[in-house]
Amino acid sequence: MTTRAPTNFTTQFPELGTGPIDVGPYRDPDYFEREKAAVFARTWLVAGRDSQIPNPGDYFVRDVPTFDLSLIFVRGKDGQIRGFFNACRHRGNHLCVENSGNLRAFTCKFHGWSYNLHGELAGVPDEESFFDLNKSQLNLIPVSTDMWQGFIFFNLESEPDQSLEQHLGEFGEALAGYPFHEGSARYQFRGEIKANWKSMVDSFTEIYHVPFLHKCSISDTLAGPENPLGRLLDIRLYGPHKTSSITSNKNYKPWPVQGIAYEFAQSGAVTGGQGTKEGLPPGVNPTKKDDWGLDVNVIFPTFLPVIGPGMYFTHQMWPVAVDRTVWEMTGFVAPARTAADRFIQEYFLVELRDAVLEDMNTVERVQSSINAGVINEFHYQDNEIALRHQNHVVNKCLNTFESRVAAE
Amino acid sequence: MASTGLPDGFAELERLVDEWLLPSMTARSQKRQASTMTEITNFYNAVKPRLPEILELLSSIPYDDALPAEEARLLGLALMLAEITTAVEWYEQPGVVDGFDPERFKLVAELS
Ligand code: FES
Ligand SMILES: [Fe+2]
Repeated sequence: MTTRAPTNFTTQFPELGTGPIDVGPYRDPDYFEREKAAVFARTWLVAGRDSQIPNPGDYFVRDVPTFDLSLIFVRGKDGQIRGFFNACRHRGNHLCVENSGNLRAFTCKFHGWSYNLHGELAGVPDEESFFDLNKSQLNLIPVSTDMWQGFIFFNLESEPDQSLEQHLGEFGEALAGYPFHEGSARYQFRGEIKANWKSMVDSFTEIYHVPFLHKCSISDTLAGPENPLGRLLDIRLYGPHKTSSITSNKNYKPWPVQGIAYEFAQSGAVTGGQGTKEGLPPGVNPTKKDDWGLDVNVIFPTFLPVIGPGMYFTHQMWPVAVDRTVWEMTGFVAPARTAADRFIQEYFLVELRDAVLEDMNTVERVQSSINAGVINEFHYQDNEIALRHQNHVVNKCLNTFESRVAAE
Repeated sequence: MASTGLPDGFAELERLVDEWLLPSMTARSQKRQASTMTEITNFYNAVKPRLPEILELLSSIPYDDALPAEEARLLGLALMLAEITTAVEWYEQPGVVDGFDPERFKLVAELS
């Protein structure tokens, strides 16, 4: 048996360097405020998926913990999805207090102002007691909204520097056509982690840790005897975004219940990933090798679609403070057709949940070491290139934005 | 019909229904965390050998509002097996080894 040869990724991108990484950006509150201004306040972020609101009048509320903001996404009678700040123009009460639902109009529970699904102010109780109220100027405040492959993105800038298409660039083209829409049943886990948002992204974008941290669980599926040190299959950098391709162990022997689940799993139907590796877009498994297991994608800054054959789920991070992050893990699976499908969904969901529960203590422990000043730099090897790249991109964003502001 | 009834051929599992049939993934996860390894292993040893037959039957039943009560209970036991399998096969303890506190990572939207 041959094991994977050493990789040679990092030196192909000289701008990334090979030296230690300063932990300042992971613990410095001033750096965090700069990130909020230069990145999160002006980059396209994901709100959810179109399948959450299939019918006219369907809406969901997206909270944005980074800015303590609440947004509404609603499908209009014309079928268009629009985004608004969840704030009534009278005095600012939240219009929607449920997470999701279906409405014919938005009515504020405070004093009854109402708006149609396009956000236009439609009714003001006791209008004659107001002074010079210009209703046409008091529509809901729109938030910049655009779509990619059924994902609803928003940008807090009213006139974003880049369109979503420009932001996604080649990455958006390379992954277009993946059957994201087949997963219309949704689940979501959510928690608040005592760690910097970049540490959260980092923990899902390297597999150096897999043979060690995940040795009880998923190590043999992904790494196994041919890749005992968790080396990457491939890395693609697309400007700020990236795709890390991870191996699978071709001689993997399933766990007992998992083996039974695989026998009954319908190809492509469930979270379990027994789907085909054929016919995928060029950006999915870009090397087209047959020992491919899955791709961990990062849509900069914090949206991570994890894509394997016949399955995908996403991680998303919402920074709250330099060492506090809201983490959402969201899955979209095909609705169970039979009662057996429902078992299979649940089985693979439990595997996924337990595997990520193995990850998160390390992230909080790293944060405590750097907050205490015990650890002042990180040492990244070649297969941790995604972490080096993320750090590099954030730094570059801050510098670009700040020199532009200084020149204005 | 007793409220613990299961489809023909699965009567031996009916004794498990009262304790192990729970309405949501969150409830199943909490049951796992609150059980001893002996309780979990006994449940695994009772249900896992029947899993191929259970899935054989359930794969002929559409998953919709018309799911009959007996099949729904059998599915509920299978979902509990899904919940506790990693405790038996991966961790040999109820919770994830050195795992993050599941109470801090909650299901906010469940599969129906
Ligand atoms: S704040 Fe909405 S009607 Fe007053
Ligand atoms: Fe991990």
